[in-house]
Amino acid sequence: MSEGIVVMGQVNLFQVVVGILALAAAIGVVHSKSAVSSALSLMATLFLTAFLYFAKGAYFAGVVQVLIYAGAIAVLFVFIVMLLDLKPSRVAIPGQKGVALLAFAATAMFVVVVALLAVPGLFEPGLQESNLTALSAKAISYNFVSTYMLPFQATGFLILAAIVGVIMLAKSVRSPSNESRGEP
Amino acid sequence: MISLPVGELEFHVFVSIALFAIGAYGFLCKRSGLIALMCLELMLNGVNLFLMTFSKHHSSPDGASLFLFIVLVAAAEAAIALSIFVILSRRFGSVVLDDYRRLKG
Amino acid sequence: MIFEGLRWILLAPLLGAVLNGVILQNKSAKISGLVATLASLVAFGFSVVACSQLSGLNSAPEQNFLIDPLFTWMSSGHVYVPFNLELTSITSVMLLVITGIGSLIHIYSISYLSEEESPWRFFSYLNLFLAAMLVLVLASNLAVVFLGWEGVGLCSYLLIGYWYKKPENTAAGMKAFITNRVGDIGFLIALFVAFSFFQTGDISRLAERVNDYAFLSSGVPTWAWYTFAGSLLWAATAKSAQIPLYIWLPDAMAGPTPVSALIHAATMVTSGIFLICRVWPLFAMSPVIVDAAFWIGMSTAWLAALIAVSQTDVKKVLAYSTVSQLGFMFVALGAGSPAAAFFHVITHACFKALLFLAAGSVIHGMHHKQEMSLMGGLKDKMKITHVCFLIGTLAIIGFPLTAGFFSKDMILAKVFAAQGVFGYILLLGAALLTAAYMFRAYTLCFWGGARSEYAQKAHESDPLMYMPLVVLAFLSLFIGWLELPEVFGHFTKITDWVHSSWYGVGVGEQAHLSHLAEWLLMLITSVLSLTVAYYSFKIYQRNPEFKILPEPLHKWSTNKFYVDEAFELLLIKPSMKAGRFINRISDETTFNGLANGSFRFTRLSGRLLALFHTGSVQTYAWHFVFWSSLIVGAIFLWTL
Repeated sequence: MSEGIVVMGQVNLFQVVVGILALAAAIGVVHSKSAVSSALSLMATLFLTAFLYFAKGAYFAGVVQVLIYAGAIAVLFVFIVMLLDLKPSRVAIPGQKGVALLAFAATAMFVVVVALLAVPGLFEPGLQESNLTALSAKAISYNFVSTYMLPFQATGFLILAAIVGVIMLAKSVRSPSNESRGEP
Repeated sequence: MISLPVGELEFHVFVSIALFAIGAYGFLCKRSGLIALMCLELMLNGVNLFLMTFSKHHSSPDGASLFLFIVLVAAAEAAIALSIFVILSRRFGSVVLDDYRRLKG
Repeated sequence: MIFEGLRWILLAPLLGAVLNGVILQNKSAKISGLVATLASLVAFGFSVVACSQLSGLNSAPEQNFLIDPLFTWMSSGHVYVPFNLELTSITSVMLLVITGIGSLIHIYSISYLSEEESPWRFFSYLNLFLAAMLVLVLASNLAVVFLGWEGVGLCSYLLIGYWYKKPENTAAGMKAFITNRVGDIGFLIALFVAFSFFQTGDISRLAERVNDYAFLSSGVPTWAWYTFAGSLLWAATAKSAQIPLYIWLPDAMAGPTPVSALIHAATMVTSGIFLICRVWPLFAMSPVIVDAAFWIGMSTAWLAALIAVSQTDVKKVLAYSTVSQLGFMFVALGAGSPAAAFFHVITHACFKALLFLAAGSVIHGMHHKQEMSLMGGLKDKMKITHVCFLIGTLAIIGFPLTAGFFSKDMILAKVFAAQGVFGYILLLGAALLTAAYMFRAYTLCFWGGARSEYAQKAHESDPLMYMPLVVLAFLSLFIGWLELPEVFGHFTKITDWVHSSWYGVGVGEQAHLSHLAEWLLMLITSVLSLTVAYYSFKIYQRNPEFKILPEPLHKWSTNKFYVDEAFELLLIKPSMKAGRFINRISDETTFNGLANGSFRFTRLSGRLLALFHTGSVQTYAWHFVFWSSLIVGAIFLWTL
């Protein structure tokens, strides 16, 4: 087995444990009573997914996941939840008409899809020996400035627009024309 | 490391679909806008895992590139959405989505 | 030869129009008039320079013109239209007439319009007209000629409706414009034929096509030539006021009198004849069309003269007289002599402008009363105007050695040579009617007692108005000497000019008359005309109410032979009805139905969709998830 080449095969115990933990944390996001624990569960899910990437050998993706997702976005969520200081009672799920039915339908569909995973030959066979250099930072960045040049630039504009938009939103909160805030 | 009699590909696809489904369920049913947003991030995360899995499966950097795009868009989206929620909660006094119904005009 | 001064002839009036119309708005008649007159005089100066340049050329006939290449107007496939100005000898004469008489009329207008509210508008239009007319005559390409052709039509419309507060004036303007549009179709068809069959719109190259045997044998259908000539003739009947499209010109007298003099007598209405003279080598390829021009001209000359004898409005008399004289020019074209037609264009421009301006002076003195029944005895009160009007009258009836004598004699001689005695007698009849109605108008205006208080209080106009009259009177007396009958000596400037502007394309020699025949024709014409004029003069001095025509002709004549009514009944009413019908079935039913239907559909679908618009974000999300998973699931199952 030369460097950078791994054989696709069976899943190992570490991956199974991490995957199940990630799912548990995701359920925690949905089912926490308080928004803070939801945000912390989200952070945990994101970290655990990053571990899955590491386990796959996709180190660059894992690093990005940790830095941007878990490090920036999830922390932003925690920060905002703290800032708004929400009361737990307002966050709880009241019974909603039809939700149970739809949840049942969704679960049934989920079960069907998962059952389909057991169908042999569902996926096209991949390469017998997966080349991990395809997931390296070099390959991805090369792809970025060649095949995905236009989306790359467009994303740049999107982020610029987001920055400007956030600044505008932040300014409007402090503007004196906003006297009526706090009205129901 | 102990190997289990489950294919790596199938397992990762299962995890990603499950993440997506849990996120979708939360987004549709949770009344708090903030938690709905978090569930949105969960959905995106599920998609990301899916993309990375198949990127590895086909040894192609395309999926990884899309993963990065999604991360970038998610970052922008989170920033904007959270600041909107800050303003909305100051104006309406809550982050419950149903309280915003009168925004329909 | 390239001469770049030509563009200034064009640009000076254009600049004047812009100055008056845009920058110097609301200035008095003096300032606007001065600007416009200066622009016109500059154009005249450049024209004189250009003409002297042209006469200095001693090149071969096919090189005998000046050209000023300006820019490429359009270029598409084999359609290539350069915007070039070109001065041939026939154009140069026309140029001098337009800018020269134009300048005189500008000067005259300063005084004539001194009491108007917005003279700047008038002078702007008048300058614009000069520019358009100059494009028409200077253009080297038929498409560019068309630009000028439309431009003069537009200015004519604007100037007829100059006193736009009276609805009948604007109606007259629209009548002129629409009638001219009907004729323009002919011009367009001629253009299409030129570009598609002769493969060029350039007049010099078109003329060369006639002698180009390789081209002639390449299978151009005969009907192309006929269509070209016929549709040009159709266009000319509208612009030059011939049957059946002459009806707009008498109504065009609603405009100010200087406009009638410049546009509706001297320049614009002759552009149809000018155009046919320019493309004569092509036009003459279709003998049937040439004959048609003869008969159109003959019947117009008669009809207009018959109407003129009973008109009571002095300007209407002159208007019908113009139509009649234009008919003479068409007759000359039909007799195969563009030179005679062009000669009459030049002399007619001088004496008809003189007559109109003199009539304008009378009208000005009479406080804008135009009815001849109110005039009378003006010869003592308006001495200079009287003399000038008399000179104009003598010139138009062909008093020996005046301008009209030579040109009309030339037309009559050519008709005699080409069509024989019958044509000659017919045309002579029209000429005698001219003598009758012109002396009727002259006598009613200036002789006898004053028939109203306006006539008693009439006064001579100021020098600014009568000086142009004097100049034009001199021209009317002497411009005929440009072309002398064979018997007076061989001096044929007009013929030379006309023939030398066909780029060396020769046209067959016309039949010549013997000297005895020429003398006889001249004698008969002059004696008969003068006799008729004398009797008309005598009779109208004694009895202003005298009717030349017997009943019921007189009644028909006063009613203009019901031509307008016939047009109304046969063309205008049916087309109005058809228009309303089409409006009803297309606009009101179909398009309104479609528009209202789409509006109703939108409203209904909007109301239905509004049911889903609950304002709850998660309801939308549910819809999104439900329908998209349905679609994705369907596709998944399909591909499984």
